[in-house]
Amino acid sequence: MRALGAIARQLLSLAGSLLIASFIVFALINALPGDVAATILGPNSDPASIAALRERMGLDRPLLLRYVEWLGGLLTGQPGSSALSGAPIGSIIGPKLAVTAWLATLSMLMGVVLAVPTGLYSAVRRKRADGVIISGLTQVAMAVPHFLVGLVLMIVFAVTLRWLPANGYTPLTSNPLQWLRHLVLPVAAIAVVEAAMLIRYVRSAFIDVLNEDYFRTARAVGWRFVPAVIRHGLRNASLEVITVAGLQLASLFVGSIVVENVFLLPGLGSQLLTAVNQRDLPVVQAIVMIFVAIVLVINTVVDICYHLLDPRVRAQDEETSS
Amino acid sequence: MNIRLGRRSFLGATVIGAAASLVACSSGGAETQEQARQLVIGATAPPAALDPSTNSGAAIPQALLYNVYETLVKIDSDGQIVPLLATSWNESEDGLTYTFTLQPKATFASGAALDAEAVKTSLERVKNDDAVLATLKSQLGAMESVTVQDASTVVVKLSQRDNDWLYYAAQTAGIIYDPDGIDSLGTAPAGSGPFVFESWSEGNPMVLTRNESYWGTPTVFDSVTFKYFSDPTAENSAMSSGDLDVISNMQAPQAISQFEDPDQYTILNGTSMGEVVLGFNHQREAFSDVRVRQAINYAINRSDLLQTVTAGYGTLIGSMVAPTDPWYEDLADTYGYDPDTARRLLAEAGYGEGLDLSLRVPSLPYATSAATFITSQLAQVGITVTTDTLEFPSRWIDEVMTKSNYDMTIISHVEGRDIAKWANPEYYWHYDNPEFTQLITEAKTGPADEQTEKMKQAARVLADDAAADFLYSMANLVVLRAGISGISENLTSESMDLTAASSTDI
Amino acid sequence: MRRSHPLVVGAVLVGLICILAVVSFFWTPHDPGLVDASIALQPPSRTYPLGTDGFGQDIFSRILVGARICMLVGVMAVTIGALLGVPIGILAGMSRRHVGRRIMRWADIFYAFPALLLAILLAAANGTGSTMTAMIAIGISSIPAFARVANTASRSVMSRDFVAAARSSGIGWTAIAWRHVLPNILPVVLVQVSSALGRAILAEAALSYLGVGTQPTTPTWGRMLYDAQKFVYDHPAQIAVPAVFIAITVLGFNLLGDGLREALDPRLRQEA
Repeated sequence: MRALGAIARQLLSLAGSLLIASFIVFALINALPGDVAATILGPNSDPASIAALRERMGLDRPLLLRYVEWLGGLLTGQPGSSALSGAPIGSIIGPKLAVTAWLATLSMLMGVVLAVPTGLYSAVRRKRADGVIISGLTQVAMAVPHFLVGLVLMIVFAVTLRWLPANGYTPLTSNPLQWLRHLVLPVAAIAVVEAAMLIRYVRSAFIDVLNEDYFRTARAVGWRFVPAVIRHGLRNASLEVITVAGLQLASLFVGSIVVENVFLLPGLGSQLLTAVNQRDLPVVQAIVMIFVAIVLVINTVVDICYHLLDPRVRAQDEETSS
Repeated sequence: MNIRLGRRSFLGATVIGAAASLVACSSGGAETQEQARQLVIGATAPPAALDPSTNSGAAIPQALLYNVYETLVKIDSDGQIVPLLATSWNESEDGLTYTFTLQPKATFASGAALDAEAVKTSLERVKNDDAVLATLKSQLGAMESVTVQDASTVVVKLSQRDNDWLYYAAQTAGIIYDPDGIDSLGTAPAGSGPFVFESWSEGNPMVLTRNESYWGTPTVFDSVTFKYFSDPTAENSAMSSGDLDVISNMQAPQAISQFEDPDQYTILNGTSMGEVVLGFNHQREAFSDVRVRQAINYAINRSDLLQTVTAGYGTLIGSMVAPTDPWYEDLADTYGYDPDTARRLLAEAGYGEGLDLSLRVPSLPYATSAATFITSQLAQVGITVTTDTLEFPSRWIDEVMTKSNYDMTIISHVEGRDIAKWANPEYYWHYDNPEFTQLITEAKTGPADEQTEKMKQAARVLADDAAADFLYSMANLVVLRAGISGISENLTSESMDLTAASSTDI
Repeated sequence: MRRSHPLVVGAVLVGLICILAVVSFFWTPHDPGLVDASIALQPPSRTYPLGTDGFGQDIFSRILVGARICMLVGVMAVTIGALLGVPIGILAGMSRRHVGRRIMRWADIFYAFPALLLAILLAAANGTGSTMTAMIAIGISSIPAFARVANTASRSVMSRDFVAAARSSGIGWTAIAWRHVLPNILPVVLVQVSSALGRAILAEAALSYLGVGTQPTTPTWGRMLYDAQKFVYDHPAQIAVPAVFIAITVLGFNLLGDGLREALDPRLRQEA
């Protein structure tokens, strides 16, 4: 019951954060100078026709009124339509969200898959040459910008070897094989750097375990090494990995803008850059709100996982609620 | 130990197998691409909407004009006006009446007849519909009435002689839309060209397919795809990796050596209509003095600038005339590179102690590169330049064009015959020279056979007066996969004309 | 001895970059802004130790000045993050547990505005990205990390005996915060500063790459990387030079942070 109460509190505070964030987003974005009317009319227009178009589009109405309208629209599932093309925002953003979501989750997944065994290996061999080399490599990988890794991968695998397409995207539903081919390089570019970061956490979590008395005891009473690590080590490490991977996943949704740009994936990030540039504010607001919501939701989920997995946090919780 | 090794090699085999199948289909993909007779073009700026009559983006006519939409007459690759939907036309002696005889076979892609009524509807829409861009309205501004003489004859009356009217009617302003589709041009372009619009959405390519019922010579391609690249390196990589057949206009000429193998690629090095101008705000005190303007012209080594910004591709022009215009003259040497003269002129103008100027450039690669070069060169003659970059288009239009809040700026003017903009003192340069305006007016509304001479004189006035520093005219640098032909070397209109494009693979 | 390797290597790398930055104030081999088309894209030579870029500018001079700007962005961003984040963390850490958690919740809203997102919006607001908007964006986005670290550390300080003693002798909250909490959490904050510096420099490079960071004529490493991109096939060294310097700096700060953490954490020290 108490755990449920804690979760309910978390969700409530998530709702509060979202509301506050929505106002920040709206105020911030509507304070941007320059407007969509200028974009539509182009470099050959004159101030008078820009003003006329602003009026026709309702851009001259009070800010608060527009915020309330927008919030109402969000809550009823109608985020409005693009100021530029008139298309409903859902239809513009939906496919882009899918691209970014695939990119972020696949990269994170691949990062975790790479990191757990490598981290374990380097923890076990931490005093040997290969373990030290792995640690060194993770340090170097963390020091290189994502887009540079992407650029190098593109030059090697797309331009020189011509194994994979250099850039672009095909939706999963229209051609699964092409979809995969387009995602391999960008996912690899992000996963390498993310894995490097995770390896360090996994490694230190496992080192902790290897030094624990219960682990030594288990080994002493005849547990073989690998089962002992899996049984005792993974649980301990999982807490760390979930926390870090969760927070990283959240930042990847936004962070993948850079890699999307290198590989020209039509994701949320590239759409945001375009929409900001065109001052298509309804689209900008929607995308920023999605980013903000993703970060807040993932943080909350991580917190809840933490509550469920870690007896210490659970105990603290009971202490505060009593 | 054995088991572990075994498992690892099994895993390895799976990974290699999966990777091989991923890679293998790349050649398969290319084959199907050829069977489907696709042409994939890399272009620069993506469109923001689809209707060329209500949105000014250059990407719209680039993809749609002549390919999906047609006009009564068109501009061919030599810059000449030639028949399209009109088989012939007649201009009256006084230049006030144009009579067009329509192509009898012409139909819209929808199957509807393309007759004189349809022409009247489209041309009158430019004049009467408030939603149509003011630029297009003013291009056809002299048009007084459009009358249907019979089903295949249209008569256009002008209120005054306008030697540019037909030129503009041959481009976006003169598009003949399918009257049944005019209400939905924003989502479903409705024209009569050899291609029909298939799909486009923001962030995605634009796809055109063959118009199976085209009235004229059909295209050899089943489909044409325009992919948009904000980043020149990404575009080049896509070409090198075989994803593209054409780069419509190479944005980073420095990287052209990638495509120098003639067995694989054809490079077309033509001219465009874009003049890159270092514009001065004539409302500023410093620029009201011709010596300051001349000094800046003397201080910048334009051939070196061309070398650094575009690896030497492009043409030095010296005035606001593109090399394919009939009145083009090479005025590049009006103020040759001479920093000593520049310093002397500045001293004479009272700026011997130095001059501080702002240079506000749009966030476009050529502009920011040129800004770096110019900042350094002007520093050599004692002009301190403060450079800042403005997001293009929104912020640049707002600050520079609308508010004139700048001293100097750099932008490429890509419209045809845009020298006439210098005759408008309201335009962002605020240039006001009665002699020049007089010449432009005479060229436009005087006898047609004097137009070329008057325009030449106007261009010379502009150059001598150092109204701006006319840096260079952009090259039209096209890269084609070997075997593709029929794409024009020079860019002479707003269209990337694909009607004659062909491929030996087919 | 092996223990302190990261600390030493990190300190050496960071020191090296700092020296470059300081030197750039007094001396560069050439004017980093001087354009000369006739010597564009030269390979390294005695006159131009790292060659010249597409404008004929001396790359080494630009790397020197870039080091200064790189450090400036990092230091300013981290200062913003630490000055706002640490007090929030201390406040939360010194409050009752559930109040503290509520404060941290508020600080977490900043997590919702990552550096990239903020920078894009700030750049739009400012008309264009600049070194300033990049610094502010990176700084604001690093607030919650500082707050978390300070919170955890100060909560553990608060449970120590000497704080209890101070409280029972009637010393006020502010004085406790200044005299006991802050000095005791400083080492942990310092570790965070070091890794935040590394992240800030990477973020600056990413922002410049997207065109929402530093603008042309200012030689930052991220901008140099972006400008060199078009030469990636013909002159790969153009892109390699700034990339290597970015990597060295980030590596240096990361190692420094790790080294400090190990030096401070007695458990880790025993372990090896």
